[in-house]
Amino acid sequence: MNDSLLILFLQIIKNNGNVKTLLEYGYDFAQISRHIKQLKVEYYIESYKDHLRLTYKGEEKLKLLNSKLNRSGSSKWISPQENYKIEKIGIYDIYLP
Amino acid sequence: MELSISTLDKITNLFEELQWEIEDQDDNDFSLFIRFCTLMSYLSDPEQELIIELTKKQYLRVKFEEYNTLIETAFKKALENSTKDLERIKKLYVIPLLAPGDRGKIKSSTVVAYIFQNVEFQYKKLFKSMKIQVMHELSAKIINKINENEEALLLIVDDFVGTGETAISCLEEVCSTEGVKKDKVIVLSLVAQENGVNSVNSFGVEMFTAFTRKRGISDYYKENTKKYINIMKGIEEKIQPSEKYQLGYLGSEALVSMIRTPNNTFPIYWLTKGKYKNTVPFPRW
Repeated sequence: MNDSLLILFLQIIKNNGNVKTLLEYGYDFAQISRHIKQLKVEYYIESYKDHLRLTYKGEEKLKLLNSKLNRSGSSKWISPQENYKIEKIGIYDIYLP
Repeated sequence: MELSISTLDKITNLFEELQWEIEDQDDNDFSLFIRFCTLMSYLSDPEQELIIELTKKQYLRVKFEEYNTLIETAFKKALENSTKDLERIKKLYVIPLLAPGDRGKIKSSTVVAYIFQNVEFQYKKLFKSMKIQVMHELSAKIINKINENEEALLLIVDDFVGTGETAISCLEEVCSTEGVKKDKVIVLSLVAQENGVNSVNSFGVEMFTAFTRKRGISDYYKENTKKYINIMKGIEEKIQPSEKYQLGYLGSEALVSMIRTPNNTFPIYWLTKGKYKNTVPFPRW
């Protein structure tokens, strides 16, 4: 799992967020489920009273990754939607969404 | 579309506990796990919780490869509990449980009857020295043999009995019309709803099953019946089953899937309609 994806998972789990973002990235439910299992095995997350939550190790990892990827402000807890970013175009180019 | 990551984790745990397969799109585009999660994402939080609870605590999924074992389980219960002395039976006639209008159609009861032709059954200790003869229908000659031979018994078989409606219409034809004596008949089903067993017993015929099931909400959650029924009705407002299938056929509240899911099961599990068409866990194609 690359750092951007790991941050995304940890953020979603920390906020008990919707898996929709991960589906938009192209993962299906079973693949997301497998990643969750892997994060449990690596002890970044754990089940607690019917919810998933970050462990101390997971919190520290999130801090580290935010720092590594220069995330600040709201980007620390909500990842930019890279999948919607397009390549920069020239000032006189026409963009049709 | 709302599915929290914690709820997805609960669904994963549910599938692991039930030993249901978790396949991704590489294995199967429309896997059971993907269908189940997609369906859940259309439900509200309390609706999701209810479906997870019902599925976890009660859902019975019977695969075809289990049919042999369940036939033996049901028959063993008959041997142990029947008021008839089944140890004396030397000739067992087996017919599928069919409503009169269904003769000639492909029905799961025909599959169960066919399994009795498995040569292995003839050698099983359970069937001792019984000769098993499987038939589609009864001739006058066979009916006479069943009635007059104290060592003969008629077994009417099916994989699932719900309300008992089909069973009763079958028994009316076999007993009332064709003249087989009620005490020469046993109905055997792999799974049945309790109401269905009661209906058959009330008709005067013994019935035995591997699993007898109660209504999934009304008989199980005495204190929360009204609350859970209301939540289920909220779910059904989204999927719009016709009136007779609300809470399962005639309110059966079943939580069962066999080779095919009976319509007695809550329709959220099988009704293919509208935007939910490709998301139901156990569709009735």
